[in-house]
Amino acid sequence: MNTQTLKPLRHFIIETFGNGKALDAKAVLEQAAPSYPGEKYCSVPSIAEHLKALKAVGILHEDGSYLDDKGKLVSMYRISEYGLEKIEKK
Amino acid sequence: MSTANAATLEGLKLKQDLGFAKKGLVWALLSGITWGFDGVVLAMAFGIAAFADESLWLLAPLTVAGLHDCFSAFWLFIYNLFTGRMKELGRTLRSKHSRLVMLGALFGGPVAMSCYFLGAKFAGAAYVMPITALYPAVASVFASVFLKERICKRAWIGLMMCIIGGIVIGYTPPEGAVGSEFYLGIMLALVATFGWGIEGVLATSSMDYLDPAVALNVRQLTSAVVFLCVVLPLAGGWDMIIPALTANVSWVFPVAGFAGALSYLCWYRAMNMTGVSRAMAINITYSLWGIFFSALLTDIEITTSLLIGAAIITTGMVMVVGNPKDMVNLRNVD
Repeated sequence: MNTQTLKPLRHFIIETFGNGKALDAKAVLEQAAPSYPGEKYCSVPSIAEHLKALKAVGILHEDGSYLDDKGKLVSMYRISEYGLEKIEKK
Repeated sequence: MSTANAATLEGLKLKQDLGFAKKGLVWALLSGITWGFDGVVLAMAFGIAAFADESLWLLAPLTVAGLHDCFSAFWLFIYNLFTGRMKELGRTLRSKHSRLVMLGALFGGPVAMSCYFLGAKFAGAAYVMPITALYPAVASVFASVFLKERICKRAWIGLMMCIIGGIVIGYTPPEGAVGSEFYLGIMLALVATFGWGIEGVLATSSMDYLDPAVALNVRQLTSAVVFLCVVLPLAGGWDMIIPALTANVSWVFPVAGFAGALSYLCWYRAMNMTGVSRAMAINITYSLWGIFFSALLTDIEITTSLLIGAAIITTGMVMVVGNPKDMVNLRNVD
């Protein structure tokens, strides 16, 4: 059994950044989807909102951005020192 | 990347960040408006004949508060059901981070409400109301210490103005000599102030890991259960529940519960987007909106003190909001 499924989505998202890589909402969804199968809550818009909130409170840093095929801004995020401390403390 | 493209990207990023911060301010303002409406509607419950008995001075308001939180929890459950958050609610209830939400619910719900009513009984509303109005300041101190939240001097001044405005609006002159239980009443008022102040910080801290809508549902479920299973039995029992739900104004409970759920939902989201101190300062404008809804729904007299209080709150709110660009990063962290 995948014990990560038991974690709330925002908690899972923080841990996804634990390896220090920069990720966007789509990349996070790819990692989260297998643990939250069939849940409409686990979607790109929902994850993007979580990422913005995590950036505002300093857990993530914005680490670049680009325009997608539709000209929409896509932000990349990376874990901050503060975020890493939070992961280690849990 | 060309300089023009980089400038476009920077512009879009700033727009996105500002949009997020401004959305948080709108949530905070909506939380104040709906809380003002909630208070005016819920006050109608005190007109229920069964509550008129003097001996029910504690049980009646606690029954009203308990029913409010029960309906609020119900509406939030429905919201989370229709937005696909049911499994997230289960995961959150099992998560250790929800314990902080539950602790905040105890402080901000049953503990603060009970202490507020007991304090008002022992010391008088004239003393208790200005003390409890300080809860956003208490929350801001906790937020700057425990959450390392950035609060500039202008925001502190604005916050104090919001509090003073709230006191001006709600002030009632003291009634005669104070009794021997006066200091107990003041102590209870301080506990209520602490309870409401600490709730926001505990909730915001836990929302680093939890979805605000789901965390709030946990908050209201905890509060409702403790009101029903602990507070009401201690305050005299469940005798008032049936008369309240069968009275001709029983509609106020689901309506106020809905407004309360909406208000808390906006407030929890706002705390997560604009920081505890800003969200609380804007939320406290509920006393201003309370006047507006009272003027619409009741026969309240608009006095000079109400207008002065409203002007002070509005000025304070503008100072707290300041420049939304300051809200792009809320905490003093690396």
